[in-house]
Amino acid sequence: METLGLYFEDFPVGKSGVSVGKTISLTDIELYNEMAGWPDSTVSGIKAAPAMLVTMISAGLMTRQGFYEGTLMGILNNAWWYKAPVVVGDTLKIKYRVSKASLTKRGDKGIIVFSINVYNQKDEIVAEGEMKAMMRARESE
Amino acid sequence: MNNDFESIQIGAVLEVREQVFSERDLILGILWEGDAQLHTNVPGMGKTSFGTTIVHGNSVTSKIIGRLFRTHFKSVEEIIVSEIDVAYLGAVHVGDTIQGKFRIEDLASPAGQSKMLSMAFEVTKNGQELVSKGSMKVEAAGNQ
Repeated sequence: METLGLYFEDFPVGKSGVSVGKTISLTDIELYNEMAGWPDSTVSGIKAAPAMLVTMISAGLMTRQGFYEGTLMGILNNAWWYKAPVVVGDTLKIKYRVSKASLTKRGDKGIIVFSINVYNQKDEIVAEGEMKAMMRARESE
Repeated sequence: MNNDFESIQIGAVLEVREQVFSERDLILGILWEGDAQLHTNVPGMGKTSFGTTIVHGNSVTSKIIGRLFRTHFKSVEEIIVSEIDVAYLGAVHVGDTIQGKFRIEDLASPAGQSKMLSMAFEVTKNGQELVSKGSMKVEAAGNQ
């Protein structure tokens, strides 16, 4: 199968990257709260993004790297620590690093752990995460 | 057991019932997390064990926690989530319903009326299949 994505073998431990930025809009928060119904929260009078919206946007910034396309088999685990508020107008970007990589016994897929730092426009860390992803191996082709 | 927020104790189990997943929920997940094939390619996903496109796991977590807050934290003025750890064990599709159980593992009141809560949770779909489980820490402040 032709794919734009990367395979397990393309993710050695230590591989790292930086995303583009994504500015949080009031509409992001309103739509999120329509879907998920989290309570409103403000910081100094500015509407704050719910923690899980920060997680979802960070996951989206990973998706925009392009390496999942056609090779991601699923996200197995998500662990996130929220360090500082994110409010409307903040621009988030992520820096990721492959912290673990292990091939399954069958050799057709592998588990990759991405350690992620989420920064705002002031380069302050607002969240840290670990995403465990199952990726196809070239053996699966 | 009385599970009003003011009387929550360690060991309490807070139940959250019947959240239905709509196509709109799936599309909103794509807005933030992206359109990986898992969520958008119906024939492609038909060839996998999932059978069709799946809802974003983080949308599942978002909805079940949102319902927890609306159901059991109604009297709380401010909720700050500091940590969430969730393992995804099964897929959720558009049309599925999910239910959740949150168990209070630890509880402290460090300042005034705020409470620091550690919870473990499980999410099932359609009344039976476990689709995710995890833990989270929240601070609930200023309850009236």
